[in-house]
Amino acid sequence: MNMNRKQAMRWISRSIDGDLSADQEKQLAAYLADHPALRAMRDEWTSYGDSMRSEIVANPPPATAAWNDVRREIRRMDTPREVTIPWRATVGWATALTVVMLGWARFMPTSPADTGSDGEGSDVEMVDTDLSDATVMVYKDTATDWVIIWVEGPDGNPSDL
Amino acid sequence: MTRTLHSMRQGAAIGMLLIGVAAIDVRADKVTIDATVILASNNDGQTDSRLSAIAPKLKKIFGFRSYKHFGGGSATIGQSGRGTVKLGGGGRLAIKAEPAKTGKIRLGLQWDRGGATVIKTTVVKRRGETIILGGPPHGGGKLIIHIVLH
Repeated sequence: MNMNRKQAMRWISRSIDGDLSADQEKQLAAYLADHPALRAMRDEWTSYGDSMRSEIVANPPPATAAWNDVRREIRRMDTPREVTIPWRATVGWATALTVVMLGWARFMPTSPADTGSDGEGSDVEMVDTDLSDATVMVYKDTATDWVIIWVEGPDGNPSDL
Repeated sequence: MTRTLHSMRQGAAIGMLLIGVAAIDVRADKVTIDATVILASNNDGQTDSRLSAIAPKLKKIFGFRSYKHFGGGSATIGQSGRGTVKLGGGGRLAIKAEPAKTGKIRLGLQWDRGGATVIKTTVVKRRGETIILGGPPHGGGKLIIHIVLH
């Protein structure tokens, strides 16, 4: 196949994504061997992707960020607010699990023992609440190994239950 | 005579071994759940001395300034059994246990309070591990249950 610059750029992109076959990788490598400018561009793109990925890892995971929101709300509890929100109804556990379990499975730092119930999945299999408009979150404190299941009303400080 | 004594010693040793195994089995068949209810708030006041063992961890995790013992209890049930712990203040914790793989125990926990289910969950844990349920407001603070599986 006769490759031109445009084709090579497309293939470089696909190569970085891991979408090229072994034969296509060989063709691309042969082309890049004769085109140092494109080779430099490939290296730059690869390095840019690596730095983007490392930033994602360095960011606080969603579960931790959500727990930081809870702690922030706790600090604000010095001045309780009066609310009259009816705090009873059913929150589908699927909602809670979507927020919590996905965050946990994808982002929470885990040890081999935490990789789940029976070695697969998470420690927490299901969470549900009857409290209306409440958010349920699951957080695992890695320092203590405690699993925390926390319900928070929409206001953060609703009337007594 | 010497031979008889030797046989008796062997028999006693085997008997003691069997008793030991039986004791381990009895404990393995049972699950004890200790539940301590805590009222956490930012009100002034010292932390309850009954919570001294766990208060430093609670403070680090939650950041509340005050932790007071609100109630709680424990229940010992079969590894495939059900039980209830009265938590005080009208709250109760219904428990369902069943064995899970790799020595873990699957616990169904339902915290009811004020006619509503605050949290219903299923967790898979080992003996000695801790689960915290919390969040409902009370008296300007939040209620927290510290649950340990034994």
